Amino acid sequence: MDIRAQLSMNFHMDKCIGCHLCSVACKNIWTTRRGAEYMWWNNVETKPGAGYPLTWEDQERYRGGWEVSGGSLRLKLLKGPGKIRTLANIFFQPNLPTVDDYYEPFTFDYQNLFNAPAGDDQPVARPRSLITGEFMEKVVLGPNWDDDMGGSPLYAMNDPNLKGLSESQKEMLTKFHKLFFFYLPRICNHCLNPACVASCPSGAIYKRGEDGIVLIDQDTCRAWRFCVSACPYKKPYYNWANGKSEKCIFCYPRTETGQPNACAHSCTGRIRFVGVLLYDADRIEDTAKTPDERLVEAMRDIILDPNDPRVIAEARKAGIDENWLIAAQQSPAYNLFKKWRISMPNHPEFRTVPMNFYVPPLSPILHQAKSDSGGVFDPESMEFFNAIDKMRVPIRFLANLLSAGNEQVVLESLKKQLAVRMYRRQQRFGDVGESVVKSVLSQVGLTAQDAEDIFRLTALSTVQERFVIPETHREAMTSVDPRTMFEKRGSVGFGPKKKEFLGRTW
Amino acid sequence: MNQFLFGGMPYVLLMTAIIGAIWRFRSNKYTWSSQSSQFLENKTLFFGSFPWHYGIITILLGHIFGIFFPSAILAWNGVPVRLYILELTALSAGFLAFFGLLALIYRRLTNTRVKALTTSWDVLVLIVLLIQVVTGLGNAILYRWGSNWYAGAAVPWIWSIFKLSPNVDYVSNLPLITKTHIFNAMIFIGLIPFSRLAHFVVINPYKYLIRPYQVVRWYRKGGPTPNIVQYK
Amino acid sequence: MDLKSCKRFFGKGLQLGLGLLLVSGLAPAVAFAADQAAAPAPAVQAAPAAGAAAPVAEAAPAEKGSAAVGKMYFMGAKRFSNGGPPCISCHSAGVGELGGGILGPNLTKVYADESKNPLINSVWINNPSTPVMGPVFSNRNVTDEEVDNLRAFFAEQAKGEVAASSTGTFAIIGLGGFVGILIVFNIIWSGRYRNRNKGTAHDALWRNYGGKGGR
Repeated sequence: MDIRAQLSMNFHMDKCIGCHLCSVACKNIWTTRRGAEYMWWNNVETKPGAGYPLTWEDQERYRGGWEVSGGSLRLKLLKGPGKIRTLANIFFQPNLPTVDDYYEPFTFDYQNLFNAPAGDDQPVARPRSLITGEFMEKVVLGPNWDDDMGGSPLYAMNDPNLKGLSESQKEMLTKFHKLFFFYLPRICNHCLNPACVASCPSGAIYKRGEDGIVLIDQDTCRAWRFCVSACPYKKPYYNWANGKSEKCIFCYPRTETGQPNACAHSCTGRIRFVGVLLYDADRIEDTAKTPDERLVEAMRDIILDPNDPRVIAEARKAGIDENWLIAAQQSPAYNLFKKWRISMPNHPEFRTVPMNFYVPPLSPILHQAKSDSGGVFDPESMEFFNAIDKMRVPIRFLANLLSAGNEQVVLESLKKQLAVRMYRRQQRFGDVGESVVKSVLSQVGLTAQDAEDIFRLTALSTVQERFVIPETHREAMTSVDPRTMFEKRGSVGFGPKKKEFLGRTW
Repeated sequence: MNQFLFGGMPYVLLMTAIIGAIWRFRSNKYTWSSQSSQFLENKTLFFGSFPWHYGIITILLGHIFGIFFPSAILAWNGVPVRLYILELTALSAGFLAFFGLLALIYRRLTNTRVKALTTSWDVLVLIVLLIQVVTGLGNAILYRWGSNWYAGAAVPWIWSIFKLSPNVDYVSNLPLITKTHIFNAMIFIGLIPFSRLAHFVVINPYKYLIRPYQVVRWYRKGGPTPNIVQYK
Repeated sequence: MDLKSCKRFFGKGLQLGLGLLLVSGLAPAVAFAADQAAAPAPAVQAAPAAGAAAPVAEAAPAEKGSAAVGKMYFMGAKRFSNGGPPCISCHSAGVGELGGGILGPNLTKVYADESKNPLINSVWINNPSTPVMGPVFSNRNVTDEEVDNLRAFFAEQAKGEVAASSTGTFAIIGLGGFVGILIVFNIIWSGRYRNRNKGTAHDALWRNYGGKGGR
């Protein structure tokens, strides 16, 4: 057993209101530089929708992630013997998305509003490309281009997750009175089996052993761009100005000091939960090879119980600090993913074993249940979960998005959430009935205490409860810069040190 | 003049390359990159980058092989058919590189996005490379069986440079095209540390073939080994 | 047939046609060049060579060496004992399908040329003052015995005709190889380029949508 710790973020999609505060917080801290304008390390997508970059989930197009062939894992990137084939394509990558698949970064010529000479027409601010500096004829794509376009026949209908949906379900996508959409906030998944790391010829990308954050060594990166192609989530981005790849760094300067990530901290919906998971690194490969239908289960298996004395002993032996163990025991990520089993990974079928988990959205079910059965909770009926089959967001769609097509996993989570609502309604209004609540909870395998805890965590939790991030013992680290933040200002971060030599910044 | 060009300049430019590379590597490693622009434009690049790199790497490996094993080349060329095969392969690769280079230059001149990223260093590099490829093709065609007399006449000169007793006579009477080719090659080497040619000094990718897929770095004192083998 | 499939059809046809044209055009071109290389030689050289070669062949004293061994030295099948490069690197002497090198003068008739014949000796060859050969052979001397064999070889060659320089053939075959490599690339990577050329993801969306839209 090789126990390691991993920081994991959980998203409660039911609570996401799509306000993009997380994206803006991330953007303002990390990606306001030249060459990074188009990057959104954190972005919020409307589902169903094409996403960012457009149709990123369509691996027939982008060929990211892993596939199992002949009993072994290999990168889907290129057919044929993996690594040699990779190197042979180093000069031109067939599957690399271009800036047009994201969007051409642009600004507006605001000066014209002030400086335009007097004339008959109102002056306008024309869009100007941030790459070439020239005026753009037309802005055809932009950040969150398909935001809230849930009913769009162009964007929503082209969502790759729609495969396997019946015609009537697809019809719901465009009928105004039936359409649905929800939001999918995405950051780098900091996978256990990252395809970006595996594809990097320079060895610049690595996973940190202590907290599992996947980082790109900016000094070693040589712009071979394989990470961009290989990552199925398209979360490493190529900085075209500096010639380096960049990606979400899980705000490690913040998490190292115990602060939550910028995106998580700024979240108004309080949908994000950050905590420590302990996992068994020896079993990563087996987990990644598991067939689709058992994939989520296998991922839950690889996460270890931090309260198990054997695990604690092994973890101490593996050098995991005491405060990390305590954090792991209080981890909201562990509770949501493993203990209560209500969150699940995004597209586990890409086989990178992603470490961010999503609680599937429930809201449309209640609405549907109400209209169908004349009330949210019909105390006369013992079949409370029938309404789930009639929900607006098709289970199939959620299963394609979150559980590699296994509908049971999604159903389990939705039923649990529904059960917690019934439990709360009984507590608040008492109109459901104790016995009904008891049977509902036992049907989904929750105790009253669990229901209480789930309610507490998802509805009332404080910052300390949502973000259980242990501090890194910086004094014990070798490669951490010993200087204080004050001493380091202006000398660290992304981008080259500013040195002008013969008209070029070195 | 010959003494200066082929006796002195090699040292100047070699030292420039070595010292410059060390300086840039130490002072600002961040800028050491291939500066790929495929992200901005990938249609013309397909016709440029593939032929160029495959062609030029074939040629370059041939040149390097010749430096270290000139007698092997002469022995291989002993039978005319083998000589012709070698020369024709090299010539085809040369044409391939030439074609690719023209496509790359065309792309750089016409595509507005790529043009916006082009620095004067990039232009200089392209000019040097174009001269190099054109003179190389000229050598191969106009003064053919270059592989033979390269091994016989130019390689001893290169070794005399390495042995610190430059013997300019080896190259001083070669045709002008050849001399341009040789001198331009030295300028090319001198340019490596200052331009995007830095990616030509490829230090990393070979490791990719032998390392495991996953890389894990520990930053704890006395932690496990830097790279934990998860699986190959 | 709608416009799109029409375009694709034509594109494929054009590509195939171009490939065929290149392949079919190449073979005659090479053959023609080979003819060119072979054909004019007798025509140009016939008159003067016939006159010159005949007396020399008679007058030439028997050479000590063996022409066959000399040929091996010339071509490089047998290396000079001190490591000098073979003559064919820079000189032609009517051997080899594509001839010898052209950096140095053509040596087919060197034996018959009375001003140059005496120069075929180890002293002159190893003399440092000769332009390109000098530095090479002054460091890696040829021996008298080797030169004897070469003399015999040159005597043999002087009876023949001066072959035309086959530079054109060489370049054309090289070009042919280049085109061949391109065709192979095209076959291996055709799907790849076509994938890329389907355009951006946005174009794909609009295509699925069935509209022209986009840009």
